[in-house]
Amino acid sequence: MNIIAGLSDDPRTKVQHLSCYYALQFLHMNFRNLDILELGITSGTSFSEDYYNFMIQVGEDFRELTRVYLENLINIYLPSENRPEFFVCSVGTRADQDDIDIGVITADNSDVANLNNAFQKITQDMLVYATPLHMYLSEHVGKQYYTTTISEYKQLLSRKIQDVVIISELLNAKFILGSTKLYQKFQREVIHKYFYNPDKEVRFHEGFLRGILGEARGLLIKPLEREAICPKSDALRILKSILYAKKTILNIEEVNAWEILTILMDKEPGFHSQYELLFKAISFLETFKFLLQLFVIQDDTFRLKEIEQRQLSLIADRMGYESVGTVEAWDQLIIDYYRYVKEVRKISDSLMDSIAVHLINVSVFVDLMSKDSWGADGKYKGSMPKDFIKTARFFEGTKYWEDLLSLLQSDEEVLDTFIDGFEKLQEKEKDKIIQQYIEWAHYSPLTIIRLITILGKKQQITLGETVAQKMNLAFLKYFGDLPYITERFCRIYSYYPQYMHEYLQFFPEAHYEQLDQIISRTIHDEELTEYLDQLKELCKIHKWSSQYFHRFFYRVINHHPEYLKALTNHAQLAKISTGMLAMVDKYPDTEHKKQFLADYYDLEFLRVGISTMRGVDLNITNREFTEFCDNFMRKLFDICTEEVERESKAKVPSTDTFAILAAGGHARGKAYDDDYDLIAVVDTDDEVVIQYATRIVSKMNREILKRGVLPHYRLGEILNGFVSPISKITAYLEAEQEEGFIDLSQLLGARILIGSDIMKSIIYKKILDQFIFSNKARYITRMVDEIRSRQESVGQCDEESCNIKETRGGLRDIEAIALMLKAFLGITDPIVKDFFREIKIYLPDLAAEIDILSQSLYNLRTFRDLYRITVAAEDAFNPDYLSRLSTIFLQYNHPEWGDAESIMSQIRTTLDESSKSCDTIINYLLEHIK
Amino acid sequence: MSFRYEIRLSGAGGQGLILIGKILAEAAAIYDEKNATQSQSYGPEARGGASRSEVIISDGDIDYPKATNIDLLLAMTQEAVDKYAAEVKDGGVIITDSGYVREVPKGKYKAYSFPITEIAEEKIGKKIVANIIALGAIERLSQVVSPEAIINAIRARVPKGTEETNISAFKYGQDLVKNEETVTPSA
Repeated sequence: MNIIAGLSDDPRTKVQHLSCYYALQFLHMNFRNLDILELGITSGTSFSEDYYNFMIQVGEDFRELTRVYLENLINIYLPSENRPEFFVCSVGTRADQDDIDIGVITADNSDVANLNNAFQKITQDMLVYATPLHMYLSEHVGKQYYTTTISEYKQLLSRKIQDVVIISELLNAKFILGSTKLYQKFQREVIHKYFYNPDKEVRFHEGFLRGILGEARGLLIKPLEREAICPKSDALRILKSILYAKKTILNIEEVNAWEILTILMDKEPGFHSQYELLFKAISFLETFKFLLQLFVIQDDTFRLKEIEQRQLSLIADRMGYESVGTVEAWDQLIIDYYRYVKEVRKISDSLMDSIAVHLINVSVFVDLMSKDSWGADGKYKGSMPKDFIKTARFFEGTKYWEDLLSLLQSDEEVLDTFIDGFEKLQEKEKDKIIQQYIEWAHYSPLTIIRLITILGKKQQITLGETVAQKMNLAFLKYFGDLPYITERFCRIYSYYPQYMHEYLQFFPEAHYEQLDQIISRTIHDEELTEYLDQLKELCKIHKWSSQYFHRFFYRVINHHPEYLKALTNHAQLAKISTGMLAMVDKYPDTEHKKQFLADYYDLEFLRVGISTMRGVDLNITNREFTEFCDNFMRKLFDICTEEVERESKAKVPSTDTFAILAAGGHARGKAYDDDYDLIAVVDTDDEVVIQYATRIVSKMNREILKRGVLPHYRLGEILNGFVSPISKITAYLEAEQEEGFIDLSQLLGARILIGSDIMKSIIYKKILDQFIFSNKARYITRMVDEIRSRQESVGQCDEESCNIKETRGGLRDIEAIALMLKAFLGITDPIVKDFFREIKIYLPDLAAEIDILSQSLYNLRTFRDLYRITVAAEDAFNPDYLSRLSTIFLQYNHPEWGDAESIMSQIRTTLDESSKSCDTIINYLLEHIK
Repeated sequence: MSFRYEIRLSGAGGQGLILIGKILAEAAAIYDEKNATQSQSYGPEARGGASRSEVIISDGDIDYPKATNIDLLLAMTQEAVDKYAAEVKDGGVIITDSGYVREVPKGKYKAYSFPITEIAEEKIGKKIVANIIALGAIERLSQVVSPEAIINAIRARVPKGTEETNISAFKYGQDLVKNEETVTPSA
């Protein structure tokens, strides 16, 4: 190029000659390197190596070409005698040909006018004839537009940590031309501030890490676009952020990503395989991006629908891909693209954890939060929340605080001290400090969400308005007014659904109005719509469900946070449940089996509960609930039997002599009972058999309890053991004690869960037939007495409370009537869904009354189920909470119950009608048993 | 050697004894990972106003679900203490509500009389939380289930929006035992 520059003395002509030569060389350089890539791919064995060689060569050639061109232009516009001391460095990706990012640094601001003038002309020429020149570093720093002094950098960067992009560019700076002495000074006084040196101030290093990790995480939580590929934001920026962080931690001077990775493989052998993968990934991604820019468009985002297939095929061909069968080469290229992107994101995420470990060791906050530095009495001197926020001001704008939040979360004493510091402040000052925290987290709502969650969890049993609650309200008010806050919430949810779930666990009900405003806004980013729907569903579940339901919900999500994203997909949840049940049999050891079975139970509870909240018909939810409970019990019986067999090395009783019956609500297919009435019977008096059976039931008891359902063994307690021999039961029933009537009713209503047909017929013959069917008049009379006696003491449905079970005409009356009808007709089948429809055939005189009872049962259970899921596992309804039910009825299946008053009115009408029908049926039965 | 602790909660219907039995069992089993059984009276047994719930807690398997050798008895009525005091084992604990129980039968147990319902009415303003106050006293005197587990179980059981009132009641109950001058053992 120097020869070309000598062809003319006229500056204008000289520029045109140089520019023409630059253009020719530019084309030639690209053609030549593409040919070399093709040769490598055709003859070589490793595509990755060819991509790497290609990118290195393209980068070096392009840098050299631009360096020489720039040098000649400087010679034209700035005679050597007028030059101040300066140097030019390149920043950004070397091979990127859409622009050239440079920095021009001078010793000071005297005599820089000519230099700025020259660069103004050079920038113009480069824009017209060559590649646009960007002066990013200078544009944002100092008084001059094109140049910056070292002291200007120092001054700017010492105030606070500033934009980490500038620091990254500085760390990436490569000397091009000018004063090497000045460049070294720049490195020493500016760049090296960000490298880790335990003997020097670490806050610059820490600030850079907090900034760069925050940037990387910001990109990680951004979902991939569906219709476009963006190698830069999908993966390269994340990867490079991590590399720059590592570079400063391990004092690596190299600026090229591949060189940094090579050194990291040596310095951190524990991560060798990950670095190797990143090396391959960056080679692929940079090559793909380069070819897309060369053949398609000089841009960072490539919309696949807008790219011609021909162009993609050409790139795939250049990168060595071939069509295989029906799969096109470019298809494979795109698949590989996403494979590499996923790998980069996954590895970067794990490397972030290792950087967090370094951060917590060197952080300036360690002194503040480390108990070792608190003084001899082990007490913190001062106010931790105030000291923390004061120190944190330097780091304003940085977004990565996970390390310190983890420390706060894991150390009770530190957390107590932090909270105590807040509590000791006067209310006004407390509000002020809380506001400072909120503003400090302006760029990182995730940080404040995590902090509120940690405080909320710790303060969940604290009475009165807590710091967590105050901070939450301030957070929602402040962030609620910021633009794109809905999108930011969605991004956090998309990557950290578990964090949002944990946050909502301690979310005060009174704050939902603010949150609802945020999540109900319209968003225009289509990639986030799906996540917004999921987030809304999550909020709805938290807000509108009872603590009883939360117990299962939290357990599922705590074990399997990945299921959060399936909450809006009922079919997917059902598939996962089915798979879990199948997994129970896959494991040989019973502990694993029990764990899978427990997960199955919890997930099914969650799934059916969500369907209830979505207005699914009572009969469906009750059927599904009973089905999974029965599956659970039967599998649990098998597992516990296996354990007892193994422990005792003896064969336990067969199901021809041993049975377990579900009684109470579970027998009747009723969902959401919080207890489980069980009757375990053996048809033998052999103590060894009874002992084995007892051990099985005892083990089952333990597992059922863990699910939050209380097993009750009423008959067992009376007869002094979990398992009752039939001989003892009959002796007890023959004694005709008053309470024996309850047990007899439980047996009549029971449904066999475990046990053979032989046991079923034994129970029928020795108990039901003998004590009920053969003397039904006696049973029905006693039941009528029981109903009337109970009705004397039950309350009415009033404005404060309404017990839909015990009030006249309530569930207990209807169930008692069903038992009497069962006894009257000699039916052994359980009282499930079609019971009333079937018995109507035998009692045509009572058809109308039975229809009323059936409908009453349906209505009351519909209210009951939804009340249990949304309010509490109680039969006594508090009218204040009925609006939760009405919201769901209105949205889904029963608009006629769209307000609390309509529900109460329906309950009263139902109880009234049911009560009248009960009386009619009782009279009929008493008349017909005479 | 595994331990077995038997608790009987007795009094009148409407005093919430079944609820605190459930809370105790769930706290032990779910949050403290112990084994537990819980039983309750209902139907004709509850007729006439009596109410009873039993909780057995163990760190091993429970083979026998019935309380026979009671470690702690909560009696919220005179009838209840008269009926069940004899079943409390030597060295066991009886807690009574001083508002309803005038006299505790003599025996080799430690008896504590607290103004449970009075505190519920005066401090919380809700008589209905007397059962949770009693639970706080049971936690302190039995030390068989952790307070954190009980608070978690309370949160899971009580209606949404009433958690704070109930936790506050639980703490009042704990304070009854912490506060020595209100403890009036009698033997």
